[in-house]
Amino acid sequence: MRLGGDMDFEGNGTLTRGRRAKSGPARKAGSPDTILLATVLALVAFGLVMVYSASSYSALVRFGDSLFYFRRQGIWAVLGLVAMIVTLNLDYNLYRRYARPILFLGMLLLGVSLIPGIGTMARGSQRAVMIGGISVSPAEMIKLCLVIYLSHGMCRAPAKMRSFWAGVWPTLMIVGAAVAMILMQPDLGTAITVAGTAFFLLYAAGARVVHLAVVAGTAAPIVWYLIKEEPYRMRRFLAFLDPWADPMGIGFHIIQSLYALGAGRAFGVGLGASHQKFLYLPEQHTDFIFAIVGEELGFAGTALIVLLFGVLLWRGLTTAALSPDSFGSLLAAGITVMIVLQATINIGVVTSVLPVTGIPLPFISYGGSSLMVTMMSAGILLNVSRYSKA
Amino acid sequence: MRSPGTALRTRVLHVLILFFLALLMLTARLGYIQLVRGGELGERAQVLRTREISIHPKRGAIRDIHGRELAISVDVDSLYAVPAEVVDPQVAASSLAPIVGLAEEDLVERLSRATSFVWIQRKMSTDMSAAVRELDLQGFHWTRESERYYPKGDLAGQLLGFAGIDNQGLEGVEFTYDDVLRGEGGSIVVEFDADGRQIPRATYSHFPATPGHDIYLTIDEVLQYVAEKALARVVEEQDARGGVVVLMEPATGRVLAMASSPGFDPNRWAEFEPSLWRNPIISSPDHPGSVFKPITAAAAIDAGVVNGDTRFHDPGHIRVPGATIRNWDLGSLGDTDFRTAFAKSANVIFVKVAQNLGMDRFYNYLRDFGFASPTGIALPGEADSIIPEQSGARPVDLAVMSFGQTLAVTPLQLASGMSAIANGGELMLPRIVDGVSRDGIFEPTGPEVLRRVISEQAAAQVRDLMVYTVEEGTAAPASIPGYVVGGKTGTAQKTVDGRVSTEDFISTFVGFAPALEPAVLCFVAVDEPKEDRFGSVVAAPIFKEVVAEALRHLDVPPDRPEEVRPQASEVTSEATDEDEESEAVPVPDVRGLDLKEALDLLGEQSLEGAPTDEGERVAEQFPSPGTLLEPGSTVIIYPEMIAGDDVAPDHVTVPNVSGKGLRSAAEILGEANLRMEVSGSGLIVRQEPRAGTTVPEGTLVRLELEVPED
Repeated sequence: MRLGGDMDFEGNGTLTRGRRAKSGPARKAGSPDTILLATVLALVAFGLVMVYSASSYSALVRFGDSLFYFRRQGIWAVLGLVAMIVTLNLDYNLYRRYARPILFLGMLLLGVSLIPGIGTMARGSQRAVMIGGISVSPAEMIKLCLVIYLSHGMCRAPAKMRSFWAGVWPTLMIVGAAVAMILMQPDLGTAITVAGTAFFLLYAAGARVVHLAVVAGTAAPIVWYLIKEEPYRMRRFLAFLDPWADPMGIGFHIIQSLYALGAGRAFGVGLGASHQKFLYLPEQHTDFIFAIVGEELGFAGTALIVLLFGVLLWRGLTTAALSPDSFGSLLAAGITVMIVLQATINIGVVTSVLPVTGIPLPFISYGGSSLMVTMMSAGILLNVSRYSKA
Repeated sequence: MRSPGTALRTRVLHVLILFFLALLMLTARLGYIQLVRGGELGERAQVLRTREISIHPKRGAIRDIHGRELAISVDVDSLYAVPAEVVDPQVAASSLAPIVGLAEEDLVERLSRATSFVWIQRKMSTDMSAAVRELDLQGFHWTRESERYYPKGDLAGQLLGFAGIDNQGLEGVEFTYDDVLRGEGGSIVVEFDADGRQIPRATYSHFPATPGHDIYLTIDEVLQYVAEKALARVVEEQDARGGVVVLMEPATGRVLAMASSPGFDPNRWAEFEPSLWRNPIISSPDHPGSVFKPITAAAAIDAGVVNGDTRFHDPGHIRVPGATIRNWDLGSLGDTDFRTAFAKSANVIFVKVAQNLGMDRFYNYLRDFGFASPTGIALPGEADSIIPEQSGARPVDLAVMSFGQTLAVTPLQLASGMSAIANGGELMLPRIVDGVSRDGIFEPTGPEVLRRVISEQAAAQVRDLMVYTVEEGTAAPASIPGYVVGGKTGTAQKTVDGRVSTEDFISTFVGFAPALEPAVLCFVAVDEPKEDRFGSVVAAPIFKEVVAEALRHLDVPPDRPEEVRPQASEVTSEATDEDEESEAVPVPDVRGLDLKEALDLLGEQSLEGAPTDEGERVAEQFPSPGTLLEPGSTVIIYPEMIAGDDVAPDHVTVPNVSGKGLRSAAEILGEANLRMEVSGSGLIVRQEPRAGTTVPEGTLVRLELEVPED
């Protein structure tokens, strides 16, 4: 466990070839999973193109600059790439040592963002904190922090995971605190992602199915209460069942999304040729960008994206299975689930099989914090893959 | 370093399978939305995003048999608003209201509607639209609509009918031939973003309107005018309720003129009682009276029951079960032949003839002559005749029907049946439309023989009887010098409130000329004349005037040339015999002259000029220059119509529309009264003629559009 020991900025700086650390500890890092790396880069590139295509008109109308969103997303992608290169070369075991401070920092940021005057509202639901002139969304950060901390906590004593009070309960406490703060943002989508990821981590770590069933059984009424509590959530929740019941109101998002997807048919209307992006589809470059993909590139495009996430799922969980240690396994599984769960929910919303929750599509949707955190996570996942027992 | 156990791997595999299934399900869902329902959803989205600006087709013209315009369409401005684009409805309404003549509150209400389109004022006058354009209000748009215009005013009004505000034919030929005249509407489909802004570089779809086809009527405008004028004069003289004139070409079934009084002006149709829109010639069955006797005679002669020489005894009355029937003059002819009985219109003899013919054969001939069903002419609202059911008909019905009472037929049914006698025995389908001009190709509607009704010999015999009637009998006032004329008068008793009236009559006349091979057949009816009642006095002069003009207009050679002294010396009824020695004068050429100059010039020649309408200059005249007329005769003058084709178009400068979108180009060119033709899509990159060129109004400007490179 040494800091920077695996940094690979030597020579021509080729990343994929993966050189071994010179300091030669007990562990030797191999090449990262090539398919996984290629998939991540493909998704990022795809996302940049789609953000430009989907946002150019609204950017023009709102800011008089069709490149407004694209430029920002481009900068974030570069920053994300740098972060990914760093994490890809940083031995993941390092996070074990700092698991507590990482969680503490994440929770602190989340708490601070709730203080009026410090946290700024973005898009009405996610709060951001300005750090060094850059707006960071703590809700995005906390996802990764939790995955790291939970993986650490769960792998220490696998036997404890069989016990409810010793294994499951502490996890619930920590996750519950984070989810509560995220809900206060209020950001239901991220809360669901965090809770869902933690749930699958518990399962992977060996929690008993009975315990998980109790957790789910307890959580369901709470979630239902939370939905009923906020009338807008209730309406949003029910809208997906019959969007045409209120086509100009709450069903509008979903109908426009379906229109866009439908218009794309098999091969789409052509890249850049979306018509739904002319302000008909709200959030056309953020939460609903997948619908624009569907309109411009058709079923071919949407199926390709689903396929890319499928590959990421496959390679990510393979990495988890082949990791030399439990922490690596849980970390890889947690990150993979975190990304794919988000993608699943996002696509489920866009295709009107799930209620509208407000989750960005990882790698693709516009949004700096999300892209940054997702790429950083991908870097960690890739780093774990470098230690796979082939 | 703890190695993950198999338990962990198994569980990770579970997660993998679970998410894999979820992704698979999403793929299926995407396939369903995009591949199965794709087309439908895409179209619904398209509908939501696009706004359609309709282009009205230009309605086809209705012309007379020689192509003279009876109904045309002219382009006018209509104003509509897109409420979302109107900045302040209150301000816009207050400046607009006084100009367009609408209440301010009404306008505010319209401009506040949650709709993307609302009419403000359609078919505005040029002054009005200019004043509105001056305001340059945001959110208001123009569209060109065509308005129907009937350049000859009330001429043939009931025949033409009219078209409503949306150019839909509502009455008359306009209604029957609506699908031919209407054309197909086009549209410009423009895509808008969700806030109502036009999408930059969005493709416009331009579907040009297809203009309607022109219809050529069988009507001859000159004869129609002559008929209407003659009828109007007598109706006025007689203080009659009204009247009708039908002029037909017996050999072909063409209706050459169809005049009815009172008429109406289709330009101002809404100002007239709806009952005046109806064409009584096809919609008002009435007792024909004695003009029906030729039909009875034709049936009896064809059946061999009677001929001109058959002897009869007329005691002046005849008893049938239920009634005693007398002659119209209450006199008797004593021993006589059928020819004389026909010429003197002896009811008693006709009752006998009908009795000899018998009920069954009489009804068969009624049906064959077309009196038992509508004629099938291509006009809306044709009424059927009113005839007692054959099964329930009593002897008294047969007796009375033989001289045209009890049964009621429309003027057109009578003219059509009578034409069968005139043309040698064949019933023709009466036709009002001579043909349709489709894309410059004339498609004639040919004559249609419905059936042979009587033999040629029988028809010739009836014509002889009718000639005899004009020359020796009651129809003498209908004789036309130079021609052998056949005819029959009638004075029908009206049925008022279910009772046969002794005070209200319909004076009728039917006849044809030249008798050997009739070129025209004319039926006249004058409803309730107050001064006189007999057909010979009231209706025969109309017949004489109309048929004389028709024979001359159609260049029908006289069949009794020895009587013709100076050519056309007695062609007009106004030709008086008070100055028998007067020399015929040649008609001067007044075409192109000012109306006043023309009237003066005609006056110098002792001719009377009769303008058909108000106007400044003479476009046409009838008879044509050089024709010899007796002094005092009338020359019909057709003034130029303002909106007609003959008006020299104004010249305009072609505006510059390059770089503009199709919609704004359409507005700019429309404002300059120019038409446009479009190719391509996007923005205008070329125009022909170039901007700045001076061209006549209505010139076609070709526009080439291209989608600009980014």
